[in-house]
Amino acid sequence: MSEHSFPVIEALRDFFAATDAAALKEAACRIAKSVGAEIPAHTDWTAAEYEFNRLFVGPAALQAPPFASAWTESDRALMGKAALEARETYHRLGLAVSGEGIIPDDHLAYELEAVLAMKSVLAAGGGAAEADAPTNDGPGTVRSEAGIADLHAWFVGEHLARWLPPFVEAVRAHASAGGVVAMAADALAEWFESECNATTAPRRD
Amino acid sequence: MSHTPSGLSRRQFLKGLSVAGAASLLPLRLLMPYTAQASTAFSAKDFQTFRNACPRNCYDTCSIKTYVKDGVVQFIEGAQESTFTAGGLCVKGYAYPRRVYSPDRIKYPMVQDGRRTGNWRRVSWDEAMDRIAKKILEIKEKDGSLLGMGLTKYSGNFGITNYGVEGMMSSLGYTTRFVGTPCWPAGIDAQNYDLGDMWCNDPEDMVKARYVIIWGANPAWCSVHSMKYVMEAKRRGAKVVVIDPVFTQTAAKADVFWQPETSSDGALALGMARHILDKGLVDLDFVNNAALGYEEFAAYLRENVTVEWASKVSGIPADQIREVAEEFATADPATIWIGYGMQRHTNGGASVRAIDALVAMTGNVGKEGGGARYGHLRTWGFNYHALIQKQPEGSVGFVGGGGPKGEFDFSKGEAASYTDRTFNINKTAQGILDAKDPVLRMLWVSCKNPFAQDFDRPKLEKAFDSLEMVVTVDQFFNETVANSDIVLPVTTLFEEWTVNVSYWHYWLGINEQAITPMYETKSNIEIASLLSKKMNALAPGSCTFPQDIDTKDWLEKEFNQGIYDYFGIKHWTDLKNGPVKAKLASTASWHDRKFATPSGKYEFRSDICQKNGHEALPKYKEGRKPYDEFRLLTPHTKFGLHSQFINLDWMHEYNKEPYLYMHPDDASEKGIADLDMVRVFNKVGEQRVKVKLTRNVARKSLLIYEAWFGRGNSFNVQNLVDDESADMGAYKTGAPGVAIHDQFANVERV
Repeated sequence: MSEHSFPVIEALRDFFAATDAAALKEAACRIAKSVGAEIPAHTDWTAAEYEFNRLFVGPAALQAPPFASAWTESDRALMGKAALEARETYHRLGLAVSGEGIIPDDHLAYELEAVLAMKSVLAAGGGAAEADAPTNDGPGTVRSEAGIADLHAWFVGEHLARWLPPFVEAVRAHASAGGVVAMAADALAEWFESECNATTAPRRD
Repeated sequence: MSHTPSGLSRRQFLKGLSVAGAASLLPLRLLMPYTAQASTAFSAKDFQTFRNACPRNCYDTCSIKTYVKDGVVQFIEGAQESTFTAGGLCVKGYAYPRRVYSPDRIKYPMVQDGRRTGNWRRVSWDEAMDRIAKKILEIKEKDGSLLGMGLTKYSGNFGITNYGVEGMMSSLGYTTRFVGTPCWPAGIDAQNYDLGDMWCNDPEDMVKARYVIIWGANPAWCSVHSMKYVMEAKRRGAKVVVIDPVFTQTAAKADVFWQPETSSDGALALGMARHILDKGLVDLDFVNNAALGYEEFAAYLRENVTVEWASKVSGIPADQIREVAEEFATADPATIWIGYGMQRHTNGGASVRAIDALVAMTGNVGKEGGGARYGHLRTWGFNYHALIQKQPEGSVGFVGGGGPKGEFDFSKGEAASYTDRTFNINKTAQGILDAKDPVLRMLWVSCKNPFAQDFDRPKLEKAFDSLEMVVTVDQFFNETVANSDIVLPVTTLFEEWTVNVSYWHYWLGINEQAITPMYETKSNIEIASLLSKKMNALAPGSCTFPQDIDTKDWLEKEFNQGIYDYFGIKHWTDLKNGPVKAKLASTASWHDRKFATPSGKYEFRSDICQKNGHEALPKYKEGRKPYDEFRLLTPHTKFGLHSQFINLDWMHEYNKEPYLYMHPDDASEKGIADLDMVRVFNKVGEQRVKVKLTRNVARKSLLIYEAWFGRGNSFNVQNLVDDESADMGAYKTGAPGVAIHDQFANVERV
């Protein structure tokens, strides 16, 4: 499992978790660096923040809700099956969103961090991974490398694959051309495509 | 990568189930083993359940049972324990999980850099409170008082602890309040003049009625739970008459439907009264022993009213008026449900008095299954702990005013040298524009969407533009939020503790916090305590609102022995077992005929009414003169409560866009075809909207359902509705009502 994608995943996570212009700028610059994009020097970061909020935060109806459930349910509601799938995935990794239920578990930033967690374990190689023996981490915790590889494959190939494409499409439709939000969407799409291509389908035994 | 087309891997990972042994021996690639899973069958044990209570401004105030799993509201149902809610909710109520989990909820405190720019930035609660508190202190410094800070709040959340919003204002000092109500004030005054209070029978006793007139109400849409009583009365043989300018879904279920000239209700009632008088069908025991001024009323009828006149004014044939009047007077008991729609007129209060008189002269007041049903506040005897807060020492206020007043004002304000400054809530825009010494600098908006609700929207925008700061507390983005500087996210009913009662039925229901408040939402009283903390940090002693509160404790503080006795419970926690109903001596209001009027009797002649500038007798009052070609009606829709719920996806499914409804004959004269885009216009403004042709509306009437339709649609009926006052309302609610249905407009194809 290659580590070269870590910086872009981290930068994307921080971008989508940003709460102000400074955080957006910091994360966007890292995204640009990771993907070899240029951010125009005259970028108005406050304007970028307004745009970011229009798409992902509010207070007006969101143009592109950054939550899996908004895209995977038969109707547009949060805290649906996808959010609980994400929660269970984190639990299986021995992780959890702080204050579960406050922010839906399937927010893009959390999901990117979960990918990062799985890839980190896999990148560390066999030494770090143990057998799927019962541990104190709770029932169903996956610890073996193969188990995490399968979980990663499922999370990328089935969970993220269900919502990232329509999400990216919505972002592209609403983001201003050449702006940092559009750049982040492109970086997200590009990363996701390579992640899919590099991921083996989960074992089916 | 090669995607697995099956759910195999998902099942493997997420369910943690091993593949069934037998199936693994089969040459399968696509199909997975199937076993009937326990989770497919409903088991209440799989869920935590909570009691909730719909806090919307609605007759039905439903008791809700909420099913939670994994900390997520999975679904809700009406409480079975309440015979009124009877296990069912309305189309709006069932959509509640769509509210709490809508991606479009307001999630964080945010500031807008320039109103209506859509340029919003997130701020922390601390920063939001800092900006607000500093503005409040600046106003106090500049003006020497806080009268430059206003509050507009009404019925967006009737949970009792939400009166903490008014409490917050008091805890800051004497402020400016928008008082009164756009809802039902003319009728409240009318019933107070006639009976001494607004007090209706238990709606559940409508089953006993032998004759039911639903006058200007549409319960099939707006009080769905009441319909079962109407229909049961009908099944038992009662005749149901619906009187409405629109052929509503309620009208469709009636035996008789009258579509009178809008606002001619008083004439119609008096015409019926005259016929009852002529036929000797008056209940002499009641009018002689329990009433004041009946002879004067009878003389008025004889001298001024004829059935033919009533027929001419209302458009209802005289023989029908006679027939229904006789049937009503001879049925025992007979009842009239007086809707709020019929009193939203310049003669609305007078019309309600005429209908009250009709019910009284037939001896139907004080009778189970009878009554002039309008509403009641008998179950609202809470402590109003959150509401009643003291101004900080040394606060300067308005001199010579009576302080805020309203039908829900339970503060029983003590006499003080200073009071709040009050403006008519039905003239919000004018109030803001007219405010002087000091001007209104800041407005706090909570439990209200003024841009959807207040009248003369163009003027309101101008008024808002004159304010230095607007803070809006809401769950969803709307035009009011667009016209604000700061928006604060507020909890839904599933995320706070409170208690609710109805102004129609007699049930009491607890509202438990069922889930953790999402995002950074806070309840109104938590917001108040946060503001107090900041105020006191910046200027010690500047706010008296408690700074650390436990919302569950605050719920408990609303209860008292009176409530416990009235509802027959020992403690509020008993309500966790389900809603309870008041222990009523009779289902009839005024069953002992001891009226709350000065005379202690039913007052056909009310001296207070006369003193307040109206007629002493329930005489006919002419309606507003038309100022345009068509009457414009903007009643409630089935898919929302004012602007609430309208924006939810489930509602959009059935209610995709607003329409103007008009009669096909009028349309053809105007060259308008079905689904044409038209322009409706009058002296207030204009609204473009698609038209639907229907004979459900009378000729020369235009009907557009009220409310905001959400994303990408600037539709707003208040572009066409002015702030003309109704005749009554000031006596008991602090300001006259508003003539919402005395509006006129013209229409043309665009």
